[in-house]
Amino acid sequence: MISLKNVTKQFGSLTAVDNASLKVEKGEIICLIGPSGSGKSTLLRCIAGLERPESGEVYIDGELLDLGTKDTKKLERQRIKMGFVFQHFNLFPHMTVLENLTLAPIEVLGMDKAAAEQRAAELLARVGLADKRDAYPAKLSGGQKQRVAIARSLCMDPEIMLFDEPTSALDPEMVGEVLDVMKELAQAGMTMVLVTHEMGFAREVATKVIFLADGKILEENSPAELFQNPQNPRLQDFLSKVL
Amino acid sequence: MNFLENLSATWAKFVTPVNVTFMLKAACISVGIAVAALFFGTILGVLGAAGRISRNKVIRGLASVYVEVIRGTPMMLQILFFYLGVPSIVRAVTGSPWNPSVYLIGVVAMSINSGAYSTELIRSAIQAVDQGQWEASETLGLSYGKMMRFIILPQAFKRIIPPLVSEFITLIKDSSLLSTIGVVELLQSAKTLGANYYSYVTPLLMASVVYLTLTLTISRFSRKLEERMALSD
Repeated sequence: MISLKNVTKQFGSLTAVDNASLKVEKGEIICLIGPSGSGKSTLLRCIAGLERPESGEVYIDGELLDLGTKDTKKLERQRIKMGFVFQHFNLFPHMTVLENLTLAPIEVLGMDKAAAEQRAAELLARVGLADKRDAYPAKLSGGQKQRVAIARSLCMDPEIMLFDEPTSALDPEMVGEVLDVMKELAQAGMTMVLVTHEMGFAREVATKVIFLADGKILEENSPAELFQNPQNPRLQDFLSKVL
Repeated sequence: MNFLENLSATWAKFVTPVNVTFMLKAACISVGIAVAALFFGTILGVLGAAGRISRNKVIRGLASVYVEVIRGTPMMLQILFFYLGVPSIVRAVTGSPWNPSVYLIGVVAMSINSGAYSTELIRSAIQAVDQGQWEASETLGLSYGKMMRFIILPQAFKRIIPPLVSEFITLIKDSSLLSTIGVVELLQSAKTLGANYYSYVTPLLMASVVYLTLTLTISRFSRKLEERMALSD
């Protein structure tokens, strides 16, 4: 579904992602873990087309993701196959929750307003926020904002959902409600790639866990194997600190 | 004491219906020119800002040159350039004389001047919109135009209003420079009255009162507007 070939991303002299290759198949739930600054968020942003790698390629359904292309229609078509959930939610503050959810379906997919609102209402109910449709984001708690952000991405019917530390900016008591929504998505068969510090979630839900340090993929395995039998000394060291 | 008595005597002499009407009409000219310059300047500012953040190097360069040249030279010089320079350039190019009204010249010169300041103001307001808003729009597949229209500009707009109001106040004050090319605006009306009576103190004080009434009213209005916008944050 998605494949990365030898992707390298640099910020000045810092190599954030170093020659990383990765495949995501339909139905997989991949967790990227690693110490901060290990390049996991940058890797995820390369998949989403938010960062332009210096070298290497990203393929979406076999098609090269080319950020420099003149064919912006094609780029938009590729982008909306992926839903992206940000650490800081990035809801549109000047729009109500419902407007946040219906903007892209109406403007990008060309849905009519009634159908888009119908769909948005269903998704809001699914994340447990049916009563917040007319609220502005500023009136929501962090956990509610993140659930709205997830619903906003789902409104575009993505084939895959990318999560960039979705619970890191939340107060501890709100982490659970967001993880529950993500678990529900996983059980419904959504393909997911997420950067997370929630090891419990990775262990319970992931089909594969990838460990990165210094921009390199050092180990990838099933969660059971990776957490029970870490091979790489960096991973052993990391797990001894976070578990 | 003598001076104060003198002042009140001249005050009574100046503050007649005819003189006051004359001055208020001139004040309307000042405000009218400022409104026109703000309007056209804002249009130029939107275009300039679009140029300044354009991906095209040439357009970006042209917009920068516009901003730097206008902001780096005195407005007085720009007004004189449009009053003295441009008509003779037009004559040299077309071969026929061109004598536009000084009011037109005033509005054009001040619009172009204001446009340069508005360009920077609008550009910085656009770029101050959180990076995450651009990224969220991108991942939702919004095209550049739709992202600007639905996400970025509505948020930038809030930040643009307060400095645009102070730009308006600046324009009202700076329109006094047009008195030098013969536009009968507020300051020019005071100078005319002064010349009629061979006494300038009172008419200049009268003009100050009118300027202050205008500027204080506008800045008060601006504060109210900011308070209201802060509420919706």
